[in-house]
Amino acid sequence: MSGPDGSVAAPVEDLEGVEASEALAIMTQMCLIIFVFIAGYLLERKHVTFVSEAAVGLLVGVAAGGAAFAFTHKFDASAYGEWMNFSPDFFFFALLPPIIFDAGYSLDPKLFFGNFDAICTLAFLGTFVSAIIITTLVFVMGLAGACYELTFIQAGLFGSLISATDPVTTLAILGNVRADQNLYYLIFGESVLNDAVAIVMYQTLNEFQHQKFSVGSLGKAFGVFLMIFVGSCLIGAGFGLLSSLFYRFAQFRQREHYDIVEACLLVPVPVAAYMAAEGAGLSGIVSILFCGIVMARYTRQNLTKRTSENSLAFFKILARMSETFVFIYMGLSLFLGHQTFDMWGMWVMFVIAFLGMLAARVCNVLPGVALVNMRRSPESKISRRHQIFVWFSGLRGAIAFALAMKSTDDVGDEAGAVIFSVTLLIVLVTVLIFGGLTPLMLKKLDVLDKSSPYSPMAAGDSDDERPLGGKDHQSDSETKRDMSSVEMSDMRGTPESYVTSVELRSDAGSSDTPLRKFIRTASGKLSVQEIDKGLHKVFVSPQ
Amino acid sequence: MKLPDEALASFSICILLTLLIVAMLLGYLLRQWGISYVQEAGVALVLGVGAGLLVQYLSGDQSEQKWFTFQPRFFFLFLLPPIIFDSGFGLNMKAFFRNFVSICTFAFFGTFVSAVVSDATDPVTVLAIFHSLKVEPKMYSLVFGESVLNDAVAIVLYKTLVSFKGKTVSVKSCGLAVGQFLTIFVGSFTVGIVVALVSSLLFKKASFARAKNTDTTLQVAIAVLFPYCAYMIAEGLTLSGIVAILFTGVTMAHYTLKNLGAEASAQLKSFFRVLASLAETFIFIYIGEEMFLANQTWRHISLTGVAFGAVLISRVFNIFPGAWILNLFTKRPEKKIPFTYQKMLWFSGLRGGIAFALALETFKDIPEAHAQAILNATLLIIVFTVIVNGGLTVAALKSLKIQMGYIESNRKSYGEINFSGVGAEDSGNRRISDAKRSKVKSMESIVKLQAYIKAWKYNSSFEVLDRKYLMPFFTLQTEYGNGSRGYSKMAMDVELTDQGKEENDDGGEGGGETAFSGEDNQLEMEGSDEDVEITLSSQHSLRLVPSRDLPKADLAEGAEAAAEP
Repeated sequence: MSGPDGSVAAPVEDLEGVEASEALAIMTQMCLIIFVFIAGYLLERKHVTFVSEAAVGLLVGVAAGGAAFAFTHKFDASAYGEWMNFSPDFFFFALLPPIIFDAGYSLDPKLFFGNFDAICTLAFLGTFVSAIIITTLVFVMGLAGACYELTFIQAGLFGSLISATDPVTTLAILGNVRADQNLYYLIFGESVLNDAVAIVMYQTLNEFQHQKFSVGSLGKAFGVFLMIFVGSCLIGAGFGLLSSLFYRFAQFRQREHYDIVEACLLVPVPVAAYMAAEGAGLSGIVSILFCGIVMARYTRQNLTKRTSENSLAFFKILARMSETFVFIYMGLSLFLGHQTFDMWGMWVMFVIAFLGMLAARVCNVLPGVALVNMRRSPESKISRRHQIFVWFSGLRGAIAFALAMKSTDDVGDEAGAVIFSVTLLIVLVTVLIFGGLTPLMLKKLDVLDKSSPYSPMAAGDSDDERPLGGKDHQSDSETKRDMSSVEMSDMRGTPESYVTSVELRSDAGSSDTPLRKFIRTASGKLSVQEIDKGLHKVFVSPQ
Repeated sequence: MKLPDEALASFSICILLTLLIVAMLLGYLLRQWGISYVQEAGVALVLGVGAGLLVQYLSGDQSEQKWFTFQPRFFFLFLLPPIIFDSGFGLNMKAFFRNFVSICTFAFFGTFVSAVVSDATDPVTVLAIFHSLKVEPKMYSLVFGESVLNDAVAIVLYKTLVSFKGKTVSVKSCGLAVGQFLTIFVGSFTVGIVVALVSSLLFKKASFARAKNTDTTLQVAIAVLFPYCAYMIAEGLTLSGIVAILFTGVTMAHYTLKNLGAEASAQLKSFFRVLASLAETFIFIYIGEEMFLANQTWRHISLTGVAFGAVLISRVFNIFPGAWILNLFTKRPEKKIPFTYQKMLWFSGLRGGIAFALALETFKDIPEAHAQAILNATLLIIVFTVIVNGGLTVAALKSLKIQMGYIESNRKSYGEINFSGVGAEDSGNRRISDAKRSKVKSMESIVKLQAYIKAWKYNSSFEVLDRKYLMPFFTLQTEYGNGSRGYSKMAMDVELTDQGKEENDDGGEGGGETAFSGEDNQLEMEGSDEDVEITLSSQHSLRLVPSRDLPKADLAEGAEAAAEP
C-alpha cells in the first residue's frame, strides 16, 4: 500500500514486480489521457484556439516523458519505461485502426468521392514528387558535408516516410475547426491515401538495401503499389458489404431485444478488414477506411436505429481515446526514444529537411492542383486560397513517427536515431506551430465552412434509401463567400461536424445542384451514383 | 510493416475475430431457436477447440501458434476489466448488498476450504450464462457476488501460497497470510471507491452536462478511462484489480452516472456492454484453443478425476454449511436462503478464465511437469463445467423452480407472487411497484419518521448518509432532483437483466417514480446496514450480522407491510 512511486516494483518476486510496473505505466497513461481531455475541454471553453488538443497531448506527453526519464534513471524500473515508450506494433495494431475506421464511418462519401480526383493526384503523384525532392536534398546536403550524411537508400527511406501527411494529426486538428468541407475532405483524403504511398516506397527502398537497384525492380515497385492500393480497397469494401448483407438478412430490426448482439457483431468487422489486409501484405489503413465508408453507407441502414446511433458513438469514443493517446505517446518518446539531440549534424539536417518539406509541398500542391483544375469545370476549380491552405496543412504525425521508429531496426543505430530525431522534431513543429496557426490561417484565407450551422432537418431518418442526395446547403459553399462574418467562437467545439454531414446525406431531392454536375464531371462517364444505387438495391433491406 | 511475422499476427487476429463473430452469431441463433442446452459460452469453447485442433494440425512450430495461445497478461490487462466493470455497473445494488453477508461467507469461508487453482468460481463463466437467462436477482447476485469476490480470494491465496513456497507452515505465517489477504481486499475496495468518487466529483465540477455544446464523446471517453485507472492502480499496488474495478462500477453507477447527461450515460452503458460481451466470448474461444495448443500431455486423467471430485465435494462443504450458518443467524424467513437456492449455488460453481489464467501462471512458479498436470486438470474441469453444468443450468433452474426471465414476467404481472418467502429483494421490488399504485402517500411520513429513528439509532445507515451527504456532494442536484434519484434506482433494478430496453424502461419508470423517491429510499433501509459495514470496514461485516435483526428494523418492516394493500 505504498504510494504509486514504483518502489513497489522492487522485486520481492520478479514477475510480480514487472506486472506491477506494467500496471503503473498503463495507469499513468490513462491519467495523462484524462488530463489532456480535460485540459483540451477547458481550452476550448475558454476559446483558446492556438493550442489544439493534439498539441496539449504532445506537450503533456513530453513533460511526462521527461519525468519518467528522470525517474527511471534513478530506480531500475525498465518495465515501466518500456511500457511508456512508443511501440510501433501497438500503434499499428491497436491505436490506428479505430481512428481511421471512425474517420471512414463518419465521413461524407459524397464529398470524399467528389474530390477523389484531386485527392488521388495529391496523394499519389504529389507524395512521390515530394519524396524525391526531400531525398535528393538531404542526400546532396549530406554529401556536401552540411549535415549528417545518410546513404542514398537511407535518405530515400527518410524522404518517403516524411513526405506523407498524417491522417491522425489532420483529423485531430482539422476535424475540430470548421474548414470548408471540400477542403477538409481534400486534405484528409490525401493524408489517408498517401500513407499507402509512403509505406510502399519505404518497403521497396528497404528491400533495395539488400539487393541491386534496377529499372525492373522499380517497375515492380509500381505494380506492387497499384496492387496494394486496389487490393486494400477491395478487401475493405468487401468486408463492409459482407456485413451489410449479413445485417440485411439477419433482420435485427424485427427483434429489438437482441441489439447487444447486433452491436457486438459490428465491432469485429472493421478490425478483421484491417488485419486481413495487413496479413495479405496490403495496406490496412486504406482497407479499414473503405470498410468504414461502405459500412456507413450500407450496413448502418440495416441496423436498428438505436444500434446505429450507439455504434457511431462507440467508434467515436474509441477513436477519440486512441487519437489523444497517440499524441501523448509521441510526446513521451521525446525523452524515452532513441534520439540523438546532442548531434550537430542532426539539427542541420532537421532544418534542411524542414525547409525541404515546405518546398516539396509547394511542388506537390501547385502542379497537382493545376493538373486537377484542367479537368474540372470552372465553378468547381480549386481556388488559389484553397491551394495555399492545402499547402499549409501538410501536417506530419504518427505514421511517419512509427515508420521512423521502425527505421532504427532497418538502417542501423546511428542513422536510425538521426532519422528518428529529425522526424520527431518535424512532427512537434508541425503539430505545435502549424496546428496552432490553423484557425488563424482559416480565417485569414477565408476558407471557413460557410454552410454551418447545419439545418437539423432529416438528420433522424438515416433509413431513407435515396442515394447520394444533394445536400444543397453545402454544395455551393464554394461560391458563397459573403457569409464570412461568422464568428470564430461559433466555429469551435463541434467535432461532430462531419458526423452531422453523414446523417444529413439522406435528404434527397435537388437532383441537379452544381455539386452533382461536379461529381459527374469529376468521375467521368462512370457515375458513382449509379454504382451506389445498384449497391443500395442489393445491400440495403427495403424498408 | 509487412514482415512475415506481422502478417502472421494479422492473420491470426483475423481468424480469432472471425471465430468471435461466428460464436456470437451461433449463440444468438441458439437463443432465437430456444435451445437452452448449449450456451454461447459452450459454443465459443467448442469453436475454440476446433480452431485449436486445426492450428495444431496446420502449423509446424510453436512460434506460429503464438497468437492463438492464451496470454495471461492480455487476459488480466485487457479482457477481464471491462467484463467486471460492466457487471458492477449494471449490478442490482440492493440485491448485492442485501446479500452481501451471504456472498462474503460463501466467497471467503468457502474458498478457503479447498485447494486454490481451480477452486475459484468464475464470474465470466457464470455471468455469461446467468445474464442470458435473466435469473431472479437474489440468485443472480448470490452467484455473481460469490464468484467475483472469490476471484479475489483465489488470486490472493495463490499469491500468498507462492510467496510462502519453501517456507515451513506455521501459525505465524498463517496469520501473515490472513493479514495480507485482508490488506489486499480492503485496499482494492478503497481504491475502487475512491477512483469512482473522484470521477463523479470531476464530472460535477466540469459540469459537462450543463455546457452549451455538449460533447458527449468527450464525457464518455473520460468516464471510460476511470475504471481502467482503478484497475491499474490496484494492480500496480499489487492489490486485486478485479475487486477494485467491481466497486468502481458500483459506485460510478450510483454517483457518476447522474452527473452525465442522459445521452452520455446511455452511450457509456452501451460502450461497456459491447466491450464486455466481446471480451466474454473471446475468453471462451481462447480457452477452447488452449485445449490442444498448450503442450498437452494427457497422462493426468487420474489427477483430473480426483481434482474434479474434490471440486464438487469441496463445494458441498462450502455451500451447505455456509448457508446453514447464515440461516441460523437470520430471523426473518424471507432473508433465509432456501434449500433450492443452495443446491443451485452448488451447481453453478462453474470454473473459467481466471482459474485457467492462474493455472498458466503456475508454470513460472513450480516445476514444469507439475504445472502441466495442473493445467491439464484445470482445462478439463473448465470445459466440463462450462459445457455440462452450463448446459444443464436451465434444466436445473427449472427443476428447482427458480424464477427465470425475471424482467419480462414481472413486467407482465407485477402483482403476482411466484413463490413464497423467496427473496426479500423480490418482494421489495414488488412492494415499491404496488406502493406506486396504491395510495400510501399518507404512510410516507410515518415511514420516513421511522427511517430517521432507525438512522439515529444506528447513526450510520448508509442510505441516510448517502441521501443527506454523499448524493448532494457528489452529484449535480439541481438538474437531477429527488425524482431522478428514485428513477435511477429503479433503472438499476431494471437493468440487472435487461439487455436491450433499458431506455424505454427508464423513461417509463422514471415518470411514475418521482413522487415516491422518499418511499424508495425508505424501503431500501431494511437491508442497508450492510452497506455501512462495507463502506467503513468490510472485514467486519461478518460480525455485525445480527444487527440487522434488531426489533426496530422489524418495526419499519411492519409499517411497510401495512402499507401494502
